[in-house]
Amino acid sequence: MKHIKYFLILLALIIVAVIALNYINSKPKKAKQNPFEYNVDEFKNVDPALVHYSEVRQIRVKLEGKAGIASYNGNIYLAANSQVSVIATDGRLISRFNVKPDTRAIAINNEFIAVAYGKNFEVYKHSGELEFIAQPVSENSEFTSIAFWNHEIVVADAGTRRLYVFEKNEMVSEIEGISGTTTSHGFIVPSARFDLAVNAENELWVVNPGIHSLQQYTRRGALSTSWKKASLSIEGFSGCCNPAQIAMLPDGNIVTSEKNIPRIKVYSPNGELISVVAPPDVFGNNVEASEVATIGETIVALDTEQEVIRIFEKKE
Amino acid sequence: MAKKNLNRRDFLNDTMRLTAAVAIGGLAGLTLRNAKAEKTVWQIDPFECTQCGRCATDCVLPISAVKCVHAYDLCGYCDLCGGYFKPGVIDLHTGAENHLCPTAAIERKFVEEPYFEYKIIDDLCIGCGKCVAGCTSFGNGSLHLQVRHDICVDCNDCAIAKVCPSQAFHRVPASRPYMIKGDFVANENPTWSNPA
Repeated sequence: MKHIKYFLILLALIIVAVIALNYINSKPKKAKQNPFEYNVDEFKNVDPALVHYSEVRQIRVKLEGKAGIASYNGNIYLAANSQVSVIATDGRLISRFNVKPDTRAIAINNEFIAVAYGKNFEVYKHSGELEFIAQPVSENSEFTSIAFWNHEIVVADAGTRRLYVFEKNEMVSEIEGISGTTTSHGFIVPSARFDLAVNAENELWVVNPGIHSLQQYTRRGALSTSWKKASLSIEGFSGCCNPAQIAMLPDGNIVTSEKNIPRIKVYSPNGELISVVAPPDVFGNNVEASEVATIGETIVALDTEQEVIRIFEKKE
Repeated sequence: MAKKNLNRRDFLNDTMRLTAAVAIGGLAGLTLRNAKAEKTVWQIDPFECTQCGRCATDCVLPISAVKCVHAYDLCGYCDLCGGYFKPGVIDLHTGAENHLCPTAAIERKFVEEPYFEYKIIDDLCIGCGKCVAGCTSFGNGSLHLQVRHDICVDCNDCAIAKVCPSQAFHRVPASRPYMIKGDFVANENPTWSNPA
């Protein structure tokens, strides 16, 4: 009888121990090592020798919705919150004027300021006076970028996957990105990231984001040169829509900005990686690409998630 | 009328009768409420999932009821798919050495230049979420995990939900048992809620 009593006590203790152990092990914070872990942190590490720029300043901005950034005459032009703000690189607000809501992109030349919205764009004088409103081209339009190109204006439309060239407010031609070659299949735009930029030589560069390619087009819409870099490593672009943003340096090199693992880099016009401007750790937990612009050799990035304009200068 | 003296025995009897009546009434009410309430099932909010791997290891079934699903309308149909290819592949081909998925449960099919379609083979998928991590990190996040209700045995106390570190498991109405990306936006769907 005594033995049975001891046995029952022992059994009870074992049951309690098993329940307690199971309870402790099933706590979420006591997680076991994930045998299927896919650690993408290694892609966030960048060789410091490649980083030739440093962040020298941050300008806090308040952003409601989408925004665009460009530069002119040494100043930053920000289209956001139904306004165009001209901001000095030291953060001073120089001037400001009202525009419509839903600004997506902005471009400036010595006469005008063009502001793109989802389905059309407006052109203003530097004084803020409205010059003209462009005619919409399609109900499906999703304008994502705008630039002055010689005496015309070119916009990138992610909705119809085309570039439209406007003379004043009238669309005069479109570029589909198909040049008659077997390898050319038009612009592949899986999401609303479709950027373009015009360099100092008035050459138009366009991102073909679905194939991680940068392409240069003539005014007639012919592909004159291109390169592509599809890779998960720092040398290339990955995902469905990278590089998401580009800008041109005075020497013809191209600044690229990527989403998902956000980073900013500089490539030569033939696709050689020259330097890393901002490695992913600059952007914390961001996933969106920063819109980029250049002021001489200085690179300006609009971080819409942290609501800050970041200014990067080349290291000594 | 003469006031009846209440002795201790009567008081205890009355109290017990009252307690029993309240208990039976409450039980009946609860039963009625449960009978009227819509049945709920477990589901993963893909916006909260962190691909911890426990869906693969903690389900009571030998092969997890959690599987990867593909929201095709979000997919970029990329050639270099972060959910399909291991990092550092030399050529983008379907050789086993290139697969990120530990069970080769994703089928890659050429559609037309430059598009490729990625299809989950349900029988092979173990719900580890490795492809989800790759797709979320590099792509549009069209691959995501869901509890498959044609496989799930609907445990009241889901073994995975209990250990989910991001508390991504929620009870959802059985009439709308899935949270497919693209069909709903996190925190804007009023038809499901986390039980207290």
